[in-house]
Amino acid sequence: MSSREKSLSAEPETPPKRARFSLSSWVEERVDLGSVREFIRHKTVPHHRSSYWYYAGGITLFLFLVQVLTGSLLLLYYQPSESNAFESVRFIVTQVRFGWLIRSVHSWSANLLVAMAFIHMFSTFFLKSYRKPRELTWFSGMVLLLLMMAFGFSGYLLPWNTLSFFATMVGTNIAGALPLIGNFMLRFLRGGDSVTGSTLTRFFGFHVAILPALTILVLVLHLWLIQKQGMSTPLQLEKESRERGENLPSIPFFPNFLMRDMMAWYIVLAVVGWLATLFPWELGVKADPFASAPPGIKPEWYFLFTFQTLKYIPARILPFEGEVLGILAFGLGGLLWFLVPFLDPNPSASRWSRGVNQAGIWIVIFILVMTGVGYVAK
Amino acid sequence: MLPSRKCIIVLAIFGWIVGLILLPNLYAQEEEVSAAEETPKNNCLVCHSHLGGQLASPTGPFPTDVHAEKGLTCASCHGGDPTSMDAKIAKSPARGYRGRPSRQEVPEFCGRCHSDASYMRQFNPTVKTDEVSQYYTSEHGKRLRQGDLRVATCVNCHSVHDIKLVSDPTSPVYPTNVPATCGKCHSDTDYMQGYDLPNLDQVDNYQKSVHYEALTKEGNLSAPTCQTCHGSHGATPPGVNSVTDVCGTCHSHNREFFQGSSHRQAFETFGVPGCIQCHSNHAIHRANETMLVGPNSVCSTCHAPDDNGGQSAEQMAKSIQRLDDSIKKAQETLEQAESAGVDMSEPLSDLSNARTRLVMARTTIHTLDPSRVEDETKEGFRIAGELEEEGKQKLQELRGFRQGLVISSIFIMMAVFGLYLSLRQRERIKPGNP
Repeated sequence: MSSREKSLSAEPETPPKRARFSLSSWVEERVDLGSVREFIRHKTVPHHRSSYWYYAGGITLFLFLVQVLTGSLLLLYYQPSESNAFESVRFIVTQVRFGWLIRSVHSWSANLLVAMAFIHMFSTFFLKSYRKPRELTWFSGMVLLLLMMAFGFSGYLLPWNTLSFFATMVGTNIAGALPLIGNFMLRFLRGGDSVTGSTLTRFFGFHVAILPALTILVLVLHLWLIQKQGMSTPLQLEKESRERGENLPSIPFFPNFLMRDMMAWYIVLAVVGWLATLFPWELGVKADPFASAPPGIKPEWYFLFTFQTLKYIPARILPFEGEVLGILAFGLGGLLWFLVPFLDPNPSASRWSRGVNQAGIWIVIFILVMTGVGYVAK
Repeated sequence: MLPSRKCIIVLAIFGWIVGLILLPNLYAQEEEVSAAEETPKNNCLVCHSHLGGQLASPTGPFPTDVHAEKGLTCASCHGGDPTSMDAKIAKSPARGYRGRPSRQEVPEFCGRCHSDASYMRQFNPTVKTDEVSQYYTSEHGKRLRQGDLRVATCVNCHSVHDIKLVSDPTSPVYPTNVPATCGKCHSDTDYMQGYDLPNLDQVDNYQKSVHYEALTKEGNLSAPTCQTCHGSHGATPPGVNSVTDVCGTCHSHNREFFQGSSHRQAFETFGVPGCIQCHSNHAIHRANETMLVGPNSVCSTCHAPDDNGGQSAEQMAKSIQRLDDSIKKAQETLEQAESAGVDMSEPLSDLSNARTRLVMARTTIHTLDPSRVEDETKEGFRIAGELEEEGKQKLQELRGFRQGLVISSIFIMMAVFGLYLSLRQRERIKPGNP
């Protein structure tokens, strides 16, 4: 026996290896994640020729997260007061490192978010995904869209520039024209009779506290409903698969669908980056409440079709004020749109259901035409 | 029975809503009607509007006349009884009827109210009431007293029955309308015959001037027009000795520097007017260093290029040209950054400090001292240089950002491609499938 062998045989017994630390097992010891793991393992998403519409919702969610992140960064420097708001935003875009990029991403992403929310809503409408049992998902989605528009309206005023000041004045005037509650709405939104520093503080409160809190609640409900009920499949495809006597093909949610979602998110991130860098959002000129409104004041593009339509309504229709009737008509239209799952409870190839579809097409055409006219009109 | 009860409730609610919308409007209409009924009766307009021709002409524009807007009627100026439909009673001297004033009576006719401070105070506490007394110090007023009925009186400039406030853009004496109002007579060769005026091209020349450009193109309503230099009611051409004071009302530094310079004495000796000798009177062009040297030099009218005056002019022109070039370069760089999307509003605004130095340097020319001009340009030169550097830095940063964007986009596309490959492998799908 060599000396080396001797020395080896003389070695004491090796102590038991320390167990490797694992975060998942650490959590597992405290919380039972089995059910979550099971859910993820078994969750599938239908995979068919129209399944690319599913990504619109995911992209909207991603853009919302971008808004939360960039908005939180802007909060570090933004000062919500009549005297400091504009200056603080100017400080962000001129002095803070990458401040212009963050603000520009926040503005571009907000607009893309509303656009994607509209695309998501119309795809849901035309694929008739609002049908039973997904009525609550439709309602929560509509509330989310309204919340996103409220985010846009309240956020638009925050830089306190001339355009945002007068657009807010016009927007709140429209709310003030409502019968019965108009005066209350006007004063509630403005925090007084006219758009002042009080309006700014109020809109800031809506934008960073009240609306985010409401959005989180409704968003959680919306996502929970989607997870609970799964993705809806188009009627035609359901019919075809029934005729063939086979189930629609599906893919696992994790990781296949999530990876596709991530591809879409990456592409959207690149688009937002390019837009923000090549077309930085303008700051404009500080609002002067005593100056006269510049010509051609227009609201954000997603309110433009309403604004432009109201301009075409005559001042008086019989004994009624045209603007009031117009606002009531839009309100009624919005309510009908909201209640679509009840108006079209059994979507099929029936004449009524096709009529609902055609009405949707005309609404899209109307929105596109009036938005286009709104942009061109002076 | 139940459905009909429901119908009644629905109708009642509908009626209530309609009532809420309509009532305020009906109430507003009632208020308008009662307000209209309270307006005092003015029968002058009723009769004269049917008379036709010159007798009817005042009735058309008068309702929008400033006097009518303040609640005055025809009788406030012409007297008489506007409540009577009988012409004899309405135009009876016993009812205070004064009729139409002759041309010579016009200033006193208007002055009944406009020279009465206690009366005018009710309309405007700060209004001037010395127009008529000033008018009689003017060439117009003096000649009117001498019996010349062709000179301007109140109505020639302010019109007769459609008089507007000076602040009303439709008024003939609104700043932008003043040249045309004065030019109505002063540019009319036939009308001005016999007045021995040297020329009648004042308005044409004024319209080529920097003052007219400021008034019309820049919309600066405080820019000088005819009455700013000549006076309005007391309109008189400034004499040779008062020219410097007239221009100096606005250009105070220029006056101060000129009066402290050797030019003052020289100009007085030769009997030439101060400012207009170099700048002209009505066709005043934008003043810059091209007036010092080169083909448009006004200095070379009296000075040779190699005498003291010529040498000073050249030195001052060089200093100012250097600052002007530096400001232009800074402006160009900042605008380049601005058009690339960087907010340069603050440095662009700061550049106005350099421009103020440039204006001041040009003003200092009137001292005829090149060293003082040089001192003014130094500060402007420093400001413009720093701002140009800031613009260059921003452009450099922007180039960096764009490079970063390209690099990050490459990484993003690589990530997307990686995900695509991984999915393809996982699902073994053909490329291009959804």
